[in-house]
Amino acid sequence: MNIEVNGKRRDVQAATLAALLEELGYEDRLVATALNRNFVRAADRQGTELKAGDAVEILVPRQGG
Amino acid sequence: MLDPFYPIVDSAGWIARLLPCGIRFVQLRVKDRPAAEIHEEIAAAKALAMLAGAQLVVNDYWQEAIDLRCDFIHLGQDDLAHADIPAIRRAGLRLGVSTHDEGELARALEVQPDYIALGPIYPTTLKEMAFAPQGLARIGEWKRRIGAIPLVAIGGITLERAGAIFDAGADIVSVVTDVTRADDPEARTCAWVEATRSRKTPRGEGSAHV
Amino acid sequence: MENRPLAIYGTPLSSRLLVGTAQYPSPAILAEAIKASGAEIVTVSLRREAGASRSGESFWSLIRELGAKVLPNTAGCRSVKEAVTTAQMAREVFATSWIKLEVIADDDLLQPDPFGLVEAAAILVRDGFNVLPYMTEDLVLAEKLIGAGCEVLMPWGAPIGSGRGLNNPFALQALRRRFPHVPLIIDAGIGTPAHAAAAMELGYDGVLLNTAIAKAGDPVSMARAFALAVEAGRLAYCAEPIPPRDMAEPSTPQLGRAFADLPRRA
Repeated sequence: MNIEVNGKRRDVQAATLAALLEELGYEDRLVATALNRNFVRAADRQGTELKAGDAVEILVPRQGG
Repeated sequence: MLDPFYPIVDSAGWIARLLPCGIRFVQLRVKDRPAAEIHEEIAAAKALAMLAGAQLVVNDYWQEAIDLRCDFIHLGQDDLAHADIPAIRRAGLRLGVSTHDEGELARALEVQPDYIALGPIYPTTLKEMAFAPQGLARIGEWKRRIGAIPLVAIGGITLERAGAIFDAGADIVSVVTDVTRADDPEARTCAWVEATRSRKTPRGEGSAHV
Repeated sequence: MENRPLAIYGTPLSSRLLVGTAQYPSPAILAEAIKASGAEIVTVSLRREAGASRSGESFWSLIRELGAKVLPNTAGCRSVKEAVTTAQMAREVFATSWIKLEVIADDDLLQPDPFGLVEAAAILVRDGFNVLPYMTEDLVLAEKLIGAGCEVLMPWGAPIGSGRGLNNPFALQALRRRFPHVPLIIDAGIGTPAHAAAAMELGYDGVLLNTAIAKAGDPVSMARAFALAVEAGRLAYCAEPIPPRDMAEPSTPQLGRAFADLPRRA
């Protein structure tokens, strides 16, 4: 299905947020996730289903002031 | 610098009533209340004082004070004997201690307190007094002994007596019933603030090097 | 005046200089600069990863190795929702409930949106966060943030990255006097160590800066200079400086001057 990941539209196979992280190569990374602007805890990713048009943010630790 | 007027009250409600009168230094002395209420009372008092820019002192409940991130506590001699002073110091809390005689003064000085209280100066209605009234002369004697540590005078003090007490050497005057049992506690507090404020550098006057 | 140690949300600190981690020429210089600064708290953020690089991982390991406490920020957040969600994500990733809360209103000044800031602060405090709000020097805003449960305030010196120093020292002084017992940390706009010292001499409890070190010609030296300036400013404040005067007052005594009774030569 077609969803938005970090501001870019793309087609993905994954049906859940956890599967999406695996599909995109993040499964062993320290990341934070949000779905449609709502925080999704790591523990809840398995149970979070994706639908077409969803906007997902996958964020990593970065420099900041 | 600690404000020279130091009322002692038993609830956050009292603190809310007196803060608009301009108090800047106040002690919460809660007695005979269930543990859960104490925590709430201290938290409420802390929030009120912080917003008003006043210094709150929590009597006795030092562990709760640490948990709630208060920064100043008062201990009586009994509390002093049982309190974990190193823990209190590690938490960065300031400490005021009550004294009534030489022995208690010695014990207080050992913990390097941020103020020492002497009382009762006059006969007081409030507590069962194990010690006779100290009188004005004792104030001078205590001040000579403790030097730069602020001296708080307490016990039976009324507004009319305040001048003499400062003249005798006290840095700070503490009251309970002169405010809480006044017909108009707010008015009495305002009178106290006006009478004592001139003894301290006014806040907000004059520029620093800006 | 006693130089009492600083504690923020119950954590005692020996250094009153907090530093940001952005815009350094290299990770090595970032690490050296943080060490030279003596800072015990560094700010970090959460961002989308750029490209396929795993630079996020190496950054995070570097920060952990330095042993500093991290203070995540909500930099760039334009709404309450964004700021709250970002804070929640940061809490999970960085394993801390501390959050430097930024809710930004305007592109040119990157000024805090005071209304969004108070709303977001209240939500986050209720959710158990220890909020350090980035604010203007407005007294009413300070009051609202404290009322919402913030126990530390971080007013700007000047707009982020501007290097101007303390744009409104009079207002900052008023804020200091109005809330004598709240830890106040100047955050943003600092350009030189003199600015940092000035902030400390006003009685501020600490200074947070990033650009002034990261983009200096020699960030490591500049970090050390800032550390010294913050320490000097704090010592000076506690040593009670003389007040300013308009007229002169001779420092050398007048009594005993030579040639005192002779008429001055024309």
